[in-house]
Formats: sequence, C-alpha cells, structure tokens
Amino acid sequence: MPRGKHSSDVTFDEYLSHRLAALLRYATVVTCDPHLAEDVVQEVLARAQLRWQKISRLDMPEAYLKRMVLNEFLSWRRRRSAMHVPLAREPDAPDPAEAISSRDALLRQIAMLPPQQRAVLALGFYEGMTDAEIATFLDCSESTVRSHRSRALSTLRMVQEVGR
Amino acid sequence: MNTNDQIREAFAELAARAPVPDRVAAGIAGRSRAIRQRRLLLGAGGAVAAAAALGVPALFLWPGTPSTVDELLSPVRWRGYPMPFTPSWLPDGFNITQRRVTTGRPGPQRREWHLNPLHLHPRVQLELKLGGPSPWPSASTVDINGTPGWVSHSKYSASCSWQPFEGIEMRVSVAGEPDEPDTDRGAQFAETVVRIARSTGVGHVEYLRPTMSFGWLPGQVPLRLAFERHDRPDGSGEMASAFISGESRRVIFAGVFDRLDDSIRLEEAQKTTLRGRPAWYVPPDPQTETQGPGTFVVELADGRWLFAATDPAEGGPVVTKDDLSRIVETCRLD
Repeated sequence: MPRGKHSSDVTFDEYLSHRLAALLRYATVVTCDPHLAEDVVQEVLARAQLRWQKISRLDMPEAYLKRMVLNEFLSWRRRRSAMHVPLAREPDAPDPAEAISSRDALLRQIAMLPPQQRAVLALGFYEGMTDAEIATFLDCSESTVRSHRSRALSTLRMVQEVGR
Repeated sequence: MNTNDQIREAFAELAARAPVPDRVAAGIAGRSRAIRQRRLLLGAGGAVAAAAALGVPALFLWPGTPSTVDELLSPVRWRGYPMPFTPSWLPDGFNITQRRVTTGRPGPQRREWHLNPLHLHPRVQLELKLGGPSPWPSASTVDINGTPGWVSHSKYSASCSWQPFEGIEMRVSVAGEPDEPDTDRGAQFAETVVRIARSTGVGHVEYLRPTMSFGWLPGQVPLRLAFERHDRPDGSGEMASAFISGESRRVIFAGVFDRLDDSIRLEEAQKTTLRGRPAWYVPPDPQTETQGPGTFVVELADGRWLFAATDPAEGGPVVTKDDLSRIVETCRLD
C-alpha cells in the first residue's frame, strides 16, 4: 500500500504497481506452481478490478484478495483433481547447489499434500499468520488448523525419514 | 536445521520463482473485458444468451498478445492446446460435438456444433488452417472485424473464410439438410456464417487438453498427429489420430469412449488380452472395409472402451495386425 494513503484512495493500478509482485509470490507458494499462480492471480485481479471500489473500501483489501486467490486455487483443485504440479526448474536453469535439490524435493512433497494442509503451511510459514488468523482466513476452527498442520508436518517428516 | 526451518526456506525459494508482475498485469485488462463480456452474454436475452448457455465454450484470454503462429497455437502446460478465434455467438440451440487440435506442432484445428448431435445436419463447422486465405472463386467479399473475408453459399450451405492472423486462415461453414425439397436457405446461411465469423477474436480462446496419445506408431511415413474430443449423446470420448502429413486423411486412430460403437460386434470377434484387460479382435469386413488389419477393442477398468483401427490410404503407412496390437498396448491414457 502506498504510504500516506488510506486503502480506499488507492486506485487499482496503484495497487498493482505496489503489491502485484507480493501477491504473485503468495500465489506461487500456495499453488506450488508459478504457471498456475499467474493464471489464478490474473483471474482474481480481473474480477477484482470490476469491483475495486468496494474492495478498496475494506479494512484489509489485500487479505481479501489473498483469500480470493486461495479460493480460486482450491476451486481449480476441485475442477482438476489430477492436476499436474510441475516444480522442477527450467532445463536451462540448473540447480546451483545440492541444497536447492533437497529444497526442491521438499517442495515436491509439499505440493503433494492435500490443498487445505498445504494452505495452512503456506499461511503459517510463509505469511507468518497465527492459528487464529489462519482459522479466520480459511473459515474453519483453530483446532482444524492445528490438525491440518500436524498431519502435513507428520507426512513431510515421514517422507524425509524414508528418504534418508 | 529442523523441518520448520526447511519449510520456511523452501517456501522462500518457491516465492522467488513467482511470475514476472509486468506480464501478469498486461493480461488483466483483457481478462476483465472477457469477464464483462461473459456477464453480458449470460445476462442478455434471445439468441445470444442461448448460444452462450448451450453451445459456446467459456472464453479465456491470453496473458499477452501472441505475435507468431507458434505463440498462438503452442500448448499451455496445464490447460492444453489453445483454440483461438472461438465464436461468442452461434445460432440458437447448437451444441459443440467435436474439437480437434494438431498436437506436437502448430497445425490445423476443427470444431463442430450440431443442433441435434444424432444428425449430421444442420451443422456449424469452424476450421483453422495454416497459410494464407484461399477463397472460392465465386465468393463475395465481406468485412470481418476490419479484415477482408470471403463468403459463398449454395442452396443448403454457406461458408466464410478470412485471415485474422498472419499465417492463419479461418473458415466457418454452415450446412443444412441437403434433402429439404424446394428450399434455398443459402442467403440466410451466408448471413449466419458472417455473424459467427464477426463474433470471433484472437483473444477468444478455449483450450483442449489431450488426455490420450499414441506411444508407438509405424515409422514409414511422416504423420501429423491430432487429438479430438467428442461430445455426443450416443458416445463421448477422446481420440488420438494420425493423418498423412499435409493431408486431411486420417490413417490410424485410437479412441476411448464411454460407449462402444454399434457397428463393432464383439460377439463375432476373437477374444484376446491387451493392456492386461479383456480385449477383442474384430477382423476386417470384406464387404465394407479396405485392406486394413481390422479393429482391436479393449474393455478398460473404468468401464470405457478403447479401440484402434486404421483407414489405409495411398501414400500412408502399411499397418499390420501386430502393429495395431502394439499401438493399443502403447497408447497413453490420462
């Protein structure tokens, strides 16, 4: 958000110029797929543009947009249950270090988690939200958030132990 | 480093792979227009609304504007092959029955809509071809969104072709019942094809994602590969086809359909096993078929039917029964 401006004063173009990159990073983390992230963000912002006056008057328009991104992604998952989740780097960009390979391996495991579990991890570990904030965001209880995270972490640890 | 730290690092790494904002921003305005248009179509009365609801697929818009045929027709990773110049208007009641894209490299595309999918006519057909315009000698010129177009008609059909993009020719045709006596609907059909043509745009795209493809094919001659989706009440499914390169003649085809075509009579076929599933070999019928090796049919675990056959043509590959069996074994199904 540009400094010194209330959100309702911010035009859609101003919002894009300041926050689009962050929204794309968020969408990439949530979807685990930069191509899908691009499409989801574009679709969400195209819809948001048509009612920007209302959205910009919200207390936290960015939170609203992030929720739209998550909902759009989850609806994509519902529409395409066997969606391919490409995470490998492009062929012309080889991994510079072994550490990146292991991160990619971890990301592949994260990408295979059920979408709700993955969303809980992304919101907590990337967005830094508390359980209460995640629960509000996902419209579920805090215990459900804890349950999703616990299952996700347990899966990831199990996979890592098997891989050692 | 514990798992939590590793996850934070992994997410940070993933975030660094986010798409370029400029490219995304460039596509938003176009998508907004498309969304507005969809709302208008759905909200309007009469033929346009009916067309939107019944026959015209959802429209998408590219993130940017394609400048080459390759960009225009190359597949998008998780959506499939773009089918540009999708009409946003069709006559009332027409439903899409067939979509076909060339796979592997840019090539011809075709879509068909029928009023009654069980009847061949009336039919609307939209074809995309590579190359310049090739109008009929007797065609008259019309304007298609600022581009010259050519329209011609007979008593029962009409077609309109135009070049909306360098290196692409589009042709829309409408065909009525050819056996209607003493009728001449050519002029009316000509108006219809022009209206359909004018309702298309470069950014009006639908996507076709191939869900099956050939694994192995005989390699004697170069073949153009295509994927088709059929939506018909008497059997819907997907097909992979191989055409003689540069020709429109389909020489090898394999399909997965929810119903078995009535013309395939399994009770007279030889039982066998393919892909680990019950299968049948239907020998060629000397009364109706040319020198092809016959047809293989497999009952898939999900209840659908996989079949493969050939349509031998001069200059095409010679396919033996063993070849056809290998084609069935190696077909890739999603």
